[in-house]
Parts: sequence; structure tokens; C-alpha cells
Amino acid sequence: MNLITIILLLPLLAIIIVLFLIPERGLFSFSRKAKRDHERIIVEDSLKHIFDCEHNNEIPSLSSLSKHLSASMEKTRQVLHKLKEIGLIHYKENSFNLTPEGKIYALRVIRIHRLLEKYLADSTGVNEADWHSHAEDREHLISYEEANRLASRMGNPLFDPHGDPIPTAEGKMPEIVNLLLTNLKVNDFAQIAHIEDEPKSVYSAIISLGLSVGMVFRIDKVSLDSIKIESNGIFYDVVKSLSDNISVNLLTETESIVKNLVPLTALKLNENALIYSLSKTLRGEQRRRIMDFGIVPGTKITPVLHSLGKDPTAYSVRNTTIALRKHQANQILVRRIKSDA
Amino acid sequence: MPDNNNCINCPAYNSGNLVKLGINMTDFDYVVALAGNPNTGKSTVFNNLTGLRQHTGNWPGKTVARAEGAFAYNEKKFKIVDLPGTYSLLSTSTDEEIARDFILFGQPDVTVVVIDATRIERNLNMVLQVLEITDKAVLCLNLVDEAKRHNITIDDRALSRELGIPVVPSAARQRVGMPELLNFIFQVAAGEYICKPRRISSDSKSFNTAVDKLVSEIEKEFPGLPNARWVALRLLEGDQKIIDSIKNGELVNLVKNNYYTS
Amino acid sequence: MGSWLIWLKIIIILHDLIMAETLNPKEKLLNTANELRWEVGENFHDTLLESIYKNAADITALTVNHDNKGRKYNFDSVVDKVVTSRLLGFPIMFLLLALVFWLTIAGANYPSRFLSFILIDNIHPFLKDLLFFLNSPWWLTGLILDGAYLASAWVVSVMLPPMAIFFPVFTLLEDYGYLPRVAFNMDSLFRKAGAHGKQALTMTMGFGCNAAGVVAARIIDSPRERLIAIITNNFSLCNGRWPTQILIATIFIGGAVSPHLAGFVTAAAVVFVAVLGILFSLIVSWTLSKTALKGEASAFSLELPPYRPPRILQTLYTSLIDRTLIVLWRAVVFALPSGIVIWLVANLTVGGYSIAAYMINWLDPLAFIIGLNGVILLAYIIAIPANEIVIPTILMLTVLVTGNDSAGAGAGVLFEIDSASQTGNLLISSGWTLLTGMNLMLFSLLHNPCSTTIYTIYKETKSLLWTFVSSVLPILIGFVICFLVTLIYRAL
Repeated sequence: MNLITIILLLPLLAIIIVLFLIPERGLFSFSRKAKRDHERIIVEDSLKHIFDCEHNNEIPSLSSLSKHLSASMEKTRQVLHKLKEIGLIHYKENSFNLTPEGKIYALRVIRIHRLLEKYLADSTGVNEADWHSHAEDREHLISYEEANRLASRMGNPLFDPHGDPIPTAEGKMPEIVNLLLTNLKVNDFAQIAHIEDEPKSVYSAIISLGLSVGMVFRIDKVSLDSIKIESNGIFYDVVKSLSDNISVNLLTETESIVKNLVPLTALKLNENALIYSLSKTLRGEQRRRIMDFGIVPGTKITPVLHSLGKDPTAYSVRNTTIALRKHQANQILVRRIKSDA
Repeated sequence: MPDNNNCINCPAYNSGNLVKLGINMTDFDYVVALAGNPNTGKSTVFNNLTGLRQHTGNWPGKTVARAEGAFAYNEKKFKIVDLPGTYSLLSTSTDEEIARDFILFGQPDVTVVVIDATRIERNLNMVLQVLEITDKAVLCLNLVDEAKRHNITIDDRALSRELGIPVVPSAARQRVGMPELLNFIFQVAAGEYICKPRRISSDSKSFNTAVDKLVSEIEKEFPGLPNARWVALRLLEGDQKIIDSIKNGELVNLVKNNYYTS
Repeated sequence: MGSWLIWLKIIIILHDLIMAETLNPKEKLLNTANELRWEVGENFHDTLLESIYKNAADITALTVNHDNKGRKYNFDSVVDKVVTSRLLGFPIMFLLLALVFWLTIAGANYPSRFLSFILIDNIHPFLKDLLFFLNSPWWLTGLILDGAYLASAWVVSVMLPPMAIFFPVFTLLEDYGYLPRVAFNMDSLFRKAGAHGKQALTMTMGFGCNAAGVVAARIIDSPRERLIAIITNNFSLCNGRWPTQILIATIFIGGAVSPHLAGFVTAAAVVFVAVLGILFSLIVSWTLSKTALKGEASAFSLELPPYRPPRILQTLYTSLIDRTLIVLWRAVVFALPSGIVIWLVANLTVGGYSIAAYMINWLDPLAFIIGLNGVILLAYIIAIPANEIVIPTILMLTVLVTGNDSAGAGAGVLFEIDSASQTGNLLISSGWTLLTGMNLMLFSLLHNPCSTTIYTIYKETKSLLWTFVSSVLPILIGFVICFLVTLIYRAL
């Protein structure tokens, strides 16, 4: 090897070494970080699983955890030992439960997850069926401080788009007991309070059926394997596997109010109506903007003008003229009124 | 900080906060904030008061930066700040944040709300929100000529009674009502006119219980805070800026200023 | 071991949190607030707004009397019925638009000539004589007068009159309240392209000036639709490009058909390019909304304000100040240095040839592939401040390369020829063909925005990425389209 080659090679070697050793950004610390991130994902996913089990009064087991992590029993056992060592769980003879620290940590992970879902729903155009998986991916990547900043930008929201409460920054989460759709009787009026977002296939099926949080409906028929509900004159057949994942609030209002509701788009030009509600699917900035225009429940509204393409339509509200697209107007429920009320 | 109770006539008693908000307060006696919906002729009113020419138009978002101007009246010098035209003060948008923070933390001596006389109901949304933040406000009922053209008659005295603040019917394009507006701005700023602003009432029981409970807690912690109800409303909406101002004590400053003026 | 430390740190923080049960009064207050928030639930904001509007309605009922039977009240709704009617809606829109353009083009002609007569034909030689008299060296005279001054004067005289007419007229329509109705009518089309109806307005504004069109995108309050409007605004054929289109179409398209059809075919060709621009604007909008901007939030809100009589004088004054002069000022700021660059490129020689000659030679192979020539590409590079000076730059460079001295104000100086046929003769004698003409028209539509617009895009988006995308995307499309046209043309 001649001198020139060596002179050329030396700097190269130096560069490689430096590349490896740069703190924070070097390849060495990069590989360590990757390992740590992987570790973080396993720890956080395990904590979430144990928390969920305890929250639902189920007993987490080695097999349920290994199934949740899709890891071998042996690997899962190692994870549990690790969790015990850092003080996040009590672990004795195959039974384990969260320590106070573990519980707070789990709540933090859940907080980040639900905040992300809220963010995806309110401030992005990501598809509803992808909120959960997007949030699953990102929840391990962002720091707790970043999540808190996100929360304050969104006005510290209380619920995620599925209707689940978001734990507060102080680690508090209220107990909310929901009625299941399956508990309702024929002709009960109710509003969808929460749709469980796992497993994804079930969730997607519910969404594609056209159901959403906040929807008001009546139970039309109950049979062994399915429930038929009616909302705004449209009937939905909810099979057993789906109805188990839907929680509701029973409505005590009289039948007649709910029965005469139609979406805003059903009105003909110059037909008067009173706004009953704005669907929960009108979210974020969009919802606020519409309400700022004075489109709130109890308001008289009248379609006055179709555009050339019939969509948008202009509505007269509080002596102003506001244009709404069909897909927005569809999410506003109104009750027809006869004359000027 | 002057030590007598007559401080209402002192120059810019709360200049500290205003300087923080980027307002140069040397040589000014009073600060006037100008708020209102887009498309109400707010900029025309601003131009009339200051003699500046700013473009006005039928579109929201015209007032790009925060415009400032000045005028003198009754030997007092007024600084006037044109806030972004918004439909509301409650959302997370930058424009609305600028407007509400200026009225709350800047504590202008007078807030003039310009509204469109042909669309009073919608515009009152903004007015009622402003009245939750500040006691010192004047309503500029603009475009009364348009209202007349549309056969809308407005009982401005009744409106003034309902809202508890001076109401000035005006047609800023024709410079109608500007002297009266100036007069009321002066009276409110100088404390000659004491406003009794209307507060938002609600039919919702849980809403009222929550607000009342929080207001009493806030008043216990910050006695003399002039807008405890607004702070309560913002806390219940999860406004981080208010949460932070409680934590870092910025809210206490508002109490102090108010103490010296009342 | 590293990860151990981190876990330990987390545990300590968590433990502290649990231990910190003794709260100070302020934290207690915030805690109360939080608990109350859970109690009142998610609908707090809705309830608050409902209450506010309930109050507003009560107050209005007590203080406002609305006499609906009045005749005049219906005026607005009658106008609205007409401008949104199936029969008259579109014709009215196009007629008004055509009127605006006719006013702009016809009205700008004389003041433009007048300004050019003063600034270029009189002041320029006068200053030149003055500097000559002061014994200024030739290169200084060249840099300052033939470079910086001439480019700026050109921009002012060509840009000012049309903008001073277009913007006020546009603003009058805006102040009257007609433009929101246009947005209302056009929304169904733009919605299908993933955009906002108001983009119809920013696009139209772009026909006057892209920089102004980009600023106008502020009226769109949804972030995604606003970005789309900004990025696609350059596909609106702006004021500075119309003359290029008309000139080249007259020479190469109109010249290719029999004389009695020439006028009609020329006009059709120019309109075709403008419509092509609208088409590209919609296609690119659709593509962006389905790809890069898919994840951005989207919202729609549009209020139809009442019609109001516009104040003509006020509008003339303010729109002149607000829009025309600001845009013009930005253009001049960019034209000054670029005038110097243009002059240097044309007049600085290395080894007997000007820098321009080297660059043209270097660009020629690429230009050949897309059916243009090196002169055109170089002109588009150095005349980036304003599309208005592209044609003068092309003429100057053509003379420079061919050594044809029959026209122009001397070597290396921007110029224009009054008659289209003479310009045509010069270009054709330098090897331009129908293909060059067609492709120049396409390239004039599909290239990077001028530097004023690029700068404005950056100021409006505050994002280097989106500025880059909006600058590079059109020129990439331009290359591809010109390449395809060339392929087909050569195959025929």
C-alpha cells in the first residue's frame, strides 16, 4: 500500500469514526436509540394492555399479553420482568398488576393516543378508519411535552373522536359508564356516545354502515343476531358483532321531537325550519365556524338560493346569508316549522 | 403607579401591559381598541377617526396586520388599535387570539365594537363576548343608512339599555355619527360614563352551576378581578393562555390595575 | 445501561407526580376547573354559543323592527336570483369578466405607450447623453442606464397601466358584493377539484397579476384550499404574458393561415392557451388534494354579504395604493438588479464572445429537445423578475447572436419593434418555426412564476417547501408538454 492511498484512507476512516460517535446523531447512538424506541413501544403497549384489562375488570394474563404484543411467551415473560424491575408493575407467580407509577405511565400513553386521534379528526384530512392506526404509530414517537402542547393548541379537549375520555395532564380520567346498543328495547330513542375503535375491521364496518358518534336514532326491531335502528328515515341493520362495540345514551325526549327531524338538505327553497342539532361529525374549525355564523340549535333557518351546480346552497340565518355545502348541511338536523315563528 | 383613587384621568395607567403587546405608549393618554365582525365598515370607522386610509372591502381578512393610529379629542391624546375583524373571540385561530388577548391583557381604556345595523343579531355574538371581557365599551351601530334602505328600524336607546353601554348610530362612509362616537369614547375612557355591561345568561342548568362555582373560586383567589366570568368561561373551554396566566401570575396584574382605577 | 437511566428518570418524575398531592391554591383552582369541565362535558362550547345567540335574539326582538313588506328589501334577493339562475348566471359572469379584460387591455394601451414614450424614448436617451457628457465610462452607462434603468422603466410602463385599471375594476365588483356570488356559483366545480369556490376569484385575480392572486388567497380560510389556490395561481395567464401570447400567435399561428382568417385564429389560439391554463389549474388542484395535501384540514365557509353601492373614488384610491403600487414596487425592486444582470450577460465578453453566447450555446441542446431555442431559455432565466421583459430580452439576445443589426437600439440593449411583421421577420430569419412559436406560447404559460410572485408565495406560506413546489411544478409540466408537442410535431 503506497503512501498516497494511506493519506486518502486516513481521513475517510476519521470521518467514519466521527459519524459513529457524534452524540445524539451519530450512527452508534442512532442504533442505540432505535433499540430504545423499540423497547419503549413494547413497554408502553404492555402497560396499555394491562391498564385496559384492569379498567374493564378483567385479569391480564401472560397469554393475553403475549397475544397483544404478538410475542412469544418467553419474550413476554422477559418484558414483565423488565417492567417489574423498573417498578411499573407488581409481578408475582404469573399474576401481575400496575403500580401507581405504572398506572400514571399507562394513562400518559393513553392520553397521547387519544389526543392524537382528536388531532387527526379535527385538524387533518386523514380518513376516519385510519385515525387509530395513525395514532398507534405516532404515540410512541412524540414526547409527552409535545403532546401537551398539541393539547393546549386544541383547547385541551376532553374526549377523543370515538367518545372516549382523554386523561388530563395530571393523570385523571373520569369513569364513564355507557349503555350498550344491545341493552336497548324497541322504540327507545338514543344517541350514539362511543364507538370502540378496535378491532379495526369492526370499526371500519360500523363507519361504512354510516353510523357516527352523536347520531340520534330509534330502535326499530330487535332480533337475536341483529338490531334494526332508524335515523332520519334511514334504516340500518346492525349485526350482533357490531352492536357490541357501540355505546349509547338513552334520550328521554318525547318521541315527536326526534321523529320529525330531517337533515337540512331535505328542505325545499324558502321552507322554514328550526335547527335541532349539529352532528358530532362536524368537527374542529369547521364546526366552530358554522356556529359562529349563528347556526346553533334553536335557530330559524331557510334555504334561499341554490348555486348553479345546486351545491352549495345559501341559507338565510339571523338575517344573514350563509352558503353551506351539501355535505355540511347533511350533518345539521332540523325540524320543519310552518310559518314565521 | 399613582396612589390616589382619581387615577382614571392619569395617563395610561396600564401602560406596562400595552408596551408588552407592542404598543408604544409614550405621549398617549388613552388606548382605544376597535373590534368587530368582518365587513361591518370597521376600517372605515378607523380611517374616519385617524385620517388614515386603509382599504376596506367586502371580504374577511382584509386587515392584514394590526393597524394603529392616533387622534386627539378634548385635549387628550388617544391611541387607536384596529383589531382583526372576526366573527367571534372564542376559537383557536390566530386572529381571534390576537383580538381577545389584546382586550383582556392589554386592558384598553375603551373598546369600540363596530357592528352592521342590518345584521344585528349575528353581530351581537361578538358584542356579548367583548362585554364579558371588559366593562368599558362603546357600540358603534354602523351602516344605519343601509338598514334604513332595508326598512330596518332600530331603537338604539333600548339597545343601549339592554347592553348597558353607549350606542352610537352611524354611517361611517358618510362620516355620520363620528362626533358622537368620539364624545362617547372620551366619556367612557375618562370614567364619566359608567357602563353596566350585560352578561351572557344561559338556560342550561349544568352550564350555570359550573360557571357560578368557578367564578366564586376565581374571585376567592383573585379578589377584585374585573372579568372573573370571562376567565371562568375560558377555563371551561380549556384556554391554555388563561391557564398559564393563572400559573405565572399574569392575571394578578389585571387585578392590580383594576384596583387603582375603581 | 443508557436506557436504564432514562427509565429511572421517568419513574422518578412519575413518583413525584403521585407524591405532589399538596397543591397550592392556584393549582387547586385549575383542578376545580378541570373537574367542572368533565361535569359539563364536551358540549360546553356549543352551550355557550347557544346561550349567546339566545341572548342576541332576545335583544334583537326588543330593539329591532324589520318591516319585511318593504319593496326595496327584495332587491338583493332579486339580484341573487338572477346571478345564480341557470339561464343567466354563467353568461353574466363571463360578460362581466370579458368587460373587465376589455377595459384593461383597451384602456392600458395608451397610457402604456405614453409611459414608454416618456421613460424609454425620451428620458433614456437624455440620461445617456447626460452621462456621455459627464464622461462616464461606457460600462457604467451600460450598467446603470441600459441595464438597471431600462429594465425597470420597461416593467413600469408595461405593468402599471393594466394593473391600475384591472385592480380597481375588480375591487369595485368585490365591494359591490358580486364576487362572493361568483365563488358561490363556481364552488361546485372547484369542490370536485378538491378546492374552494373562492379559488375562482384568486384565479381571476391571477389573470391580472399572479403575485396579487397569491395575496388574494388570504380570503380562503381553510389551510388546504388556500395552499392549493396559491400553488396553482401561476396557471392563470397574467398580464405580463398576454402580450407575448398575442405577439407570437399573430406571427406564427395567424401567419400560418390565410389572411382573412388570421385575426380569428390568432384570438382563438390565445384563448386556447388561457383555457388550457385554467384546465391545468384544476387538474393540479385535484392532484394535490388527492396526494401531497391529502392530510391537510379542509373546511368551507362562505358568507354572501348584502349588495352595497361601491364608493368609486375611495376604491380607485385604495386599490391603487394597496395592490397596484405594492406589486409594482416589488417588481421594480427585482427588475433593477436583473437589468444589470441582463446587461452584463449580453455585454461582458470572454474570448471574443459574450457570456450570453456561451450560455445560449450551452442551453441549445436542451432547448432543441423541447422545441425551443437557447435564446428563449436564457431569456426566461434572466428575465425572471417580470414576464413583461421576456420579449425585449429575446429580441436583444436574438440580435446579439445573429449579429443582425437592422433593428434595435444597439448591441446588448433591450428593445421592442412596433410592428409584429418586422418582429416576425427578425425571428424567422433567426431560425424560428411554427413549432418554436407554439412551444413558446405553451412555455410562457407553463414556467416558473416571476420572482415577485415567488417572493410573495414565500411571504404568504412562510414555507420554503411550498414555495419550491409552486416554482418548480409548472416548469416541469412545461418541459413535459413542450417535449410531447415537439415529438408529435416532428413525427408529422
